[in-house]
Amino acid sequence: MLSGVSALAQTLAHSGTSGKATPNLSGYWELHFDSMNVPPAQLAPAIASENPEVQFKHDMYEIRWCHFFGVPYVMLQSPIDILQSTNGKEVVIATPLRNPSRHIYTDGRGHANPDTFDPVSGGNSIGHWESETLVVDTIGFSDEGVTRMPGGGRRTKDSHLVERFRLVGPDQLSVVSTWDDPKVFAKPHTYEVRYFRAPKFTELREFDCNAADETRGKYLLEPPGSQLK
Amino acid sequence: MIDRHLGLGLARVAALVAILQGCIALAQTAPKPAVPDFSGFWERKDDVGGGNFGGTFAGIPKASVKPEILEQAKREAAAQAQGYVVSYGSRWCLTFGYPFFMQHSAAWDIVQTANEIAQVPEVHTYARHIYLDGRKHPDADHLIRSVNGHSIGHWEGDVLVVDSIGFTGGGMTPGGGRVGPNTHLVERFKLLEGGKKLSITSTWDDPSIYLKPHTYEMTYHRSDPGTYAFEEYCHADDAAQAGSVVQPEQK
Repeated sequence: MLSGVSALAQTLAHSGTSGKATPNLSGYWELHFDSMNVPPAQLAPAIASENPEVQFKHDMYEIRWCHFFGVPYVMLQSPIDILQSTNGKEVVIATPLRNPSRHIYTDGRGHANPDTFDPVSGGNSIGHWESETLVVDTIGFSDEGVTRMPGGGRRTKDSHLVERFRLVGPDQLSVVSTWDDPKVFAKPHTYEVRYFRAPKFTELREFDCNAADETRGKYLLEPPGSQLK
Repeated sequence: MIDRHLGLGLARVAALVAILQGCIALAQTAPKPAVPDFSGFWERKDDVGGGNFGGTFAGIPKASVKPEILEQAKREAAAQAQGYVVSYGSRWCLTFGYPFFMQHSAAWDIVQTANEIAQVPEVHTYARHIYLDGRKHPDADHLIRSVNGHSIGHWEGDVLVVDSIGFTGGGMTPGGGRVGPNTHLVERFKLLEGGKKLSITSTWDDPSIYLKPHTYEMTYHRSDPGTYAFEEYCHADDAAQAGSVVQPEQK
C-alpha cells in the first residue's frame, strides 16, 4: 500500500500550465537489452541506393571532432536524466554526452521563427499533453552531428520529428518516435524505445570528448584494429 | 492462555503498523513548504557599470591566492601580451569547467524539480546537476571527478545552498581564483526583486590555492519569456578556430 501511495505521488506530482495534473516523467532512465523496437525504415530511392559507408564516415568524423551529436543519437544514451520543471513550462533531457541538453518547451509557445532560428543538432522542440502522453514536436534541425537514424536513413535540415512520451507504469517510460522527411523516407519512420527507471541516487557521468587527442582521432577514423598492428 | 496473549500481541502490532502507515502516508501527501521557483533562463547584464559586458566583473573582489598561483597568472598574462590570445583549451574546443558558463554572455537555463535542479548551458560542456534528494557526497573511493563537480543542495528558507566538491580542476573563477581537484565550493542562490533577478554568492575554498576563502556575488537577470536555447558550437577541425595571432603551443 505504501509503495502504491508513493508511486501515485511520484507519477502525478506535476501540474502543467493548463493547471491539470500531468504525469511526472522526471528522473533517471536507462536502456535495457530489450529497449529497442526499431523496424527497418522504408527509405526514399536516393537514400536507399547510397553506399552505407558514406553515412558511417560522416558520423565517425563528427564523433572524432566532438561536434554536437544531436537527436536521435542523444536519446539512445543511457542513462538519461529527464527534468520536468515544477512550474510545468519546460522539460529538459540531459545525457552523459558533452552535448547540449534537449529543451522541450511546454509553456504553450509555438516553434521558433525559422527566419531567426539557426538550425541546431537538437532542433527546436515544443510539447503539449494529450491526456497522459507528452507529445513533442521538433523541427529546425541542422545536418550536424551523428545523423544516422535507428532503422536506416538520417536526420536532415528538413526532418520533422514527433515523439510521444508515456509512462507504462511508474518505472517504465515509452517513447514512440516518428520521423518524417520525404527526401529520406518513403513513408514516415516510426520506432519505439522503452526506458526503465534507474536505481535511486543514479548520477550522470561526464563522458569527455577530446578533439586534441590524436590517438583517439586515428582510432576513430582509420580501419578497425589498424592501431594494434 | 498463550493463544490469547499471542492474539493480543498481534492486535497491538497490527494497530501500531496501521498508525505508522497512516503517519508515513500523511507525511508523503502533506504539502511541502513552498520553495522559490528558479526555473527559467538567466543572463548577465551590466546594471552597475558603463553598460559593457566586461563591466559585470567590476564588483568582483580579487582572490587572495598563494604566490605560486600569482606567478602562474603573470606567466599567462605575459604570454597573452606576446600574442597567445587563444588558449590551448579554446583552440581544441576542450570542455569548459565550472564556473565558466556562469560568466559567459549567453543565457543559461535552470530546470527545477522536487529532487534535482539542473543548470543547463549552451556551450560545449555538461548540464550541472544539483541533487536535492538528501544524498551525500560520495566518499573518496567512489567520487568521480567532473568538470561541474558533485553538487548537493538544501533549502534554508528561501535560499538554495549548494555544496560542491570533486572538480577535475583547471578552471578559473571570477576575481582571478582557480579551481583544483580539492576545491570546495558553497553557493547561495536567492531570488531578488520578486523573481526578476537571481543572486548567487559563491565561496571557493582550497588551501592549495587560496590564502583565504574567495567570496563574491553575481546577479543574473531573468530572460524574457519565450527565450529559447541555442547551441553554441565549437569546431576544432575548423582552421579558423585556430585563429590566434600566434599559434598556441601544442601540448
